This record gives sequence, C-alpha cells and structure tokens, in this order.
Amino acid sequence: MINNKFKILIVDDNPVDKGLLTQILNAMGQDFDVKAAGSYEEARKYDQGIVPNLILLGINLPDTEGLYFLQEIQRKANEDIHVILVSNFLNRDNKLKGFQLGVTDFIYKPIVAEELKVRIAVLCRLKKIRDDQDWAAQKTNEGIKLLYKELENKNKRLKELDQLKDEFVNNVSHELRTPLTIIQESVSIIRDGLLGEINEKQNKHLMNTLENIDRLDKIINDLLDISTIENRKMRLYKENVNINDLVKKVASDFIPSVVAKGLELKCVVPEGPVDVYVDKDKIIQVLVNLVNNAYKFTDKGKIELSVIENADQVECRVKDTGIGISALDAPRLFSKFDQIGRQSGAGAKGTGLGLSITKGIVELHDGQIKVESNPGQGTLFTVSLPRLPVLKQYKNFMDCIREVKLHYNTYSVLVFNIKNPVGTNDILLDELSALIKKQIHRKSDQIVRDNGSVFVILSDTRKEDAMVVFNRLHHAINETGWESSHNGFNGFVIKLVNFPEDVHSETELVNLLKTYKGVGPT
Amino acid sequence: MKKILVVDDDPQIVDLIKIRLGANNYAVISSPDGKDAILKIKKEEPDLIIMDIMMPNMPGGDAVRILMADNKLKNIPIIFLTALTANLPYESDHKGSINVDGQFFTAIPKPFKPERLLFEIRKILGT
Repeated sequence: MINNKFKILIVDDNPVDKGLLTQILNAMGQDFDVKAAGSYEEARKYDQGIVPNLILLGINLPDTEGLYFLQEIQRKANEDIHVILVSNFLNRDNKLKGFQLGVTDFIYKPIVAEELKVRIAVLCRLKKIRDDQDWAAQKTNEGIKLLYKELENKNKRLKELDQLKDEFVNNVSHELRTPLTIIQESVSIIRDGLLGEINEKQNKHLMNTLENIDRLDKIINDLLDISTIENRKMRLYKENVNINDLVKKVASDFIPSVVAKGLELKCVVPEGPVDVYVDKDKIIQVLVNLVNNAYKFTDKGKIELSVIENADQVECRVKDTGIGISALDAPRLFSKFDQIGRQSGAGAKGTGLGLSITKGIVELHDGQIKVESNPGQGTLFTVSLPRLPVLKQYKNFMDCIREVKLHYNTYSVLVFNIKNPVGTNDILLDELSALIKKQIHRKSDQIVRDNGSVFVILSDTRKEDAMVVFNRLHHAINETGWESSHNGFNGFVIKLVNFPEDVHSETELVNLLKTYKGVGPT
Repeated sequence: MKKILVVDDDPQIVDLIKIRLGANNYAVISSPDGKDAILKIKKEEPDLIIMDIMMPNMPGGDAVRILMADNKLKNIPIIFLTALTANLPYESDHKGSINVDGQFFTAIPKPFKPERLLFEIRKILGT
C-alpha cells in the first residue's frame, strides 16, 4: 500500500479560526499532515513543496484575492485537490460560483467540529479508494510489463534452445560418426585380411560387427532425418518425375532379396507416364521404407507395388501378405521409436524411425499416408501425392517445353485463347496456327495446339524480344477480319510468359495457363 | 605409384586409410588440416586429395577454394570424405556430391565403405 499521508493545508487569516481548524484536525487522531497558513502568501510557500490533498480555505466572500488564489490552485492542480471553503457568508450564488471554481464543499463559520470531521472523513475515504485504484493499476501495469518481458525472454530462450537442439543433433551425429568410422574401417581392415589371415569364426563375428555398425549408422541418419523433418528444415529438390519409374526402380532393387526369401514381388503401374512433382530421392526413400517394411513382416505370399491415378491424386500402394497390424496398434504405427510386431532375427531389426520419417516426407510433399491391415492377412500402405492435373492436360505443350529447357536457359511463350469460344473454335485455331506459321521464321520456334489453346514457344528469347513477335502477331490477327467471317468471334486473349522472368518452374507455368483459361466465358 | 594426400585431423583415420590404400598400391601422405595441406600439395604434388571438412586451422572447403583459385593446383582431383551431412557450409546436393562455388566434388560420407572409397579413387585415377 502506498504510504501517502492525507495532506491538508489550512489557509485562514483569522488566527482563531486557523487555530481552531488545526486543533480539530489534530484531535481527529488520524495521521494527517497539517500545515496552516495565515495568508495566501504563506500558503503559496507551503504549496510549492508538496501539493496538498485538501485545502481548507477560510474566506470572507466576496474576496477577490481568495478567488484568484482558488483559480491559481485549479490551474496548477494536475491531480485532484479538494478545496473546502470555510466561510461565514454563504448564499446560493456564491456557493454556485465556488463550485464553478472547483470547490468541493463548504463549511460554515462558526466552525462546528463534527461537521468538519464528517466532511474530511468522506474525503479521506475517497482518497483511499483512489490510492487503492492507482496502486492496483500501477501494479497491473508493472505486472503486464513483467509478463511481457518474461514472455520475450522465454521466446528468445526457446529459439536459442531450438537452435541448440539442431546444433546438438548435428554435432552429436558428427561426433558419433567419427568413432564409428574408425571402428568400421578397423574391423574392415582386419576382416579383409590386411593385417594377417583370419579364420572362419573370426570372420563371422567381424561380419556381425560390421552389420551392427551399419545399423548404428542408419540410426544416426534416421535421427538426423527426423530432426530435419520435425523442424521443417528438410530440403526438397522437387522435379517432374514419372512415379512409375521410381516404383519400378525400387521393385527391381528389392527383387533379389524378396526372391531369396521365397516371396513374389509384383509391380503394377499404368501404361502411360504418371507425372508428379516431387523430390525423387525422398520419394524413393519412402518407397524403400515401405517395401522394406513389407519385406520384414512377410514370410510367405507376395509383396505388390502399384500406382493408381485418381483425379487429383496419385496413389502408390505397397501391399503385403504378411503378419499385419492390429487395429489397436495402427495409430501408433507412425510414432517415433514404436516398433510394432517386432520379430527376432537380424532382418527385422529397425530403428523405429522409418515409418515416422516416411510419414514426414510424404507430408512435406503435401501428401498423405494411410494404412489398412488385418492381423494375419497382410498390410496395405497407401501414399497419396498431389498430382498436377494441368500437366496432363497440356501434355503436348509441356513435352515441347521440356525439350526446349534441355537446350536453352530462357524461353518465352505466347498463349492464344479464344475470348468467347464459339462453335467454330477448331477452325479458328487452325487458321490462327496457319497465320502464325507465316509470321514465325526461326526454325527453333514452335507452334503447339493443346487443350483449346495455341502456344508459340520462342526458344532462347527474352521477354522484350518476344514482345516484338507479340506485337507483330497481334497486328496480323487484327488485319484478318475474322470478326466478320466467324460469327460471334470476339478476338483472342494473348498472353506473354517468359522463363525465368515470369515463371521459375513448369508447375508455375501450368498454374498460370490455368488462369488464362479462366478469361472470358467458356 | 600414384600419390594420394589424405587430409584429416584424426590420426587414427589417417592411419586406417594409409593401411587400406597402401594395400591397394597407392603411396599415401597426410595433413592434419587445410593449411598444412596447401603447403604439402605445393611440395608433393599428389595425384589425388582426400579431404575432410571439419578440421581445425582451415576447414576442407576453404582449402578447396584456395586450390580452385590456384592455376597450378586447381586440376588436382579432390574427394570429400566427411562425417558432415547437414548444415554444410557448402551446398551439398542429393546426389552425393558437394558443390563448392559451383564446382561439384565427389563426397563420401563417414562412416565409409572401403569398397566405395576405392571405387571413387579408381574412377578418378583409373588404376
């Protein structure tokens, strides 16, 4: 609680009244800080030190000097000063005037002690409430500031910790790898007989040692992978790939070991290419993890890899006829270090991180992974990856673009779409293509009709140079008079796109094409 | 006999590589850091450098930069042999090579398989 005495200043030129007021106040037995002045002059002197809470102003109205003093007080009072006029002449008018000048209250002379006490008690109570409020507000303020500061510090600390964790994982993996390197190469040198012949038994143990060094190495790599996935620092090197190729590659890599285990391996993919925009190596890692998982937990029957094209997704499935997973265990399947249905034997040893890494990689690709299983009947893992539907729609065009990209660092594309498609679209586009053909002279430039659009691909052409071609074609079209010969034809929407100025990837390019299609009613 | 310089701050690793490469008829010399390596390379003119990355005095990548800037030394082939995989000061791509200022070098992660090391060496030295 603020130690704040109630400060009272008595101003009265009547020494008797001044004395009486002082006496009454002191007799109240409260801890008042009372000063008494016999003149305004004297009062101003007191006033300069500490601003009083209450001024008891003995005044014989009308008293111009007194009124002036009052105004003076009100002017400089930046906090509440209560003024009680102690007067022997008070009527309604001068009371009103007093109130207007900020007087709080009035006491009649001759002074009655009880009246004064009551008035002062009220003001004391007011002051106390106010002090409490101030105190509370101040404390709240301080509290908020402290909390804020604390939050700031905690946030900073968390960031530091996060960074430390990253560094720690990196450093630890480095620190673990160096001794592991020495162990591995020492054992390898002995096994390879570089330090003298070894016998069969020794060889077997050395091979076991090496196998477990491999396992430790894999655990370190998995830990690093999980760490980079969790703080979303895993870098993806995305490109357009035919997912069928990846699935077939993984299948063929596994064939020897699968066959050796007496299992069958099937691979079913669509005939045509299925394009996805992914980090090839990471998706291979996903497929390897899933097939490896199937391999570990399947003792008879087959493992089947398949690719299924849906409208907006591509599904990669890995199905086995293995021991399966109970519904109870399924939710834990993708969590770290949980190894479900773990079997003894070297082949089944894992790190417990494989599936959570798999899930992490799939999700980094905006995909999903799900598992369906019946114990004893096998497991089906389905990885869904978003596909780029437009890539398929503009297949001819994209094939040309890919070809151009192999040879040139830059290209521009002119895209022609009919503004208000009419019945004679195809004829119009034929005529347009023929017209463009006459205007384009470079051998490396190509005209492609695809998905209702005509594209002019200008290889090795910067945007400003393409603009010249754009203007030339625009002019040529205007001169054809197609508007009158084709009923309802309302011109073309022509767009110019440059790689790499406007788009940086094929995905960006097709996404842009989609927006051009939306121009005008279809 | 082809001469290979192994740059690594860990003497045990250097010893092991010496045994391995010695057994495969390579002459092996070594340096404990990048700074010393530069001096040795100038003096000994090795046919191939096997370079660690995290080393005191001068990390491997910096040493490679110096070599790349030196017309006499820039053609000596280099293989990185490193326990670093993440947060490399040099961009490492996903195909197992390290990019130093636009030039790609073969990178073998530690712990390494001796077959892989010998394969990469033979690929470069052709022996």
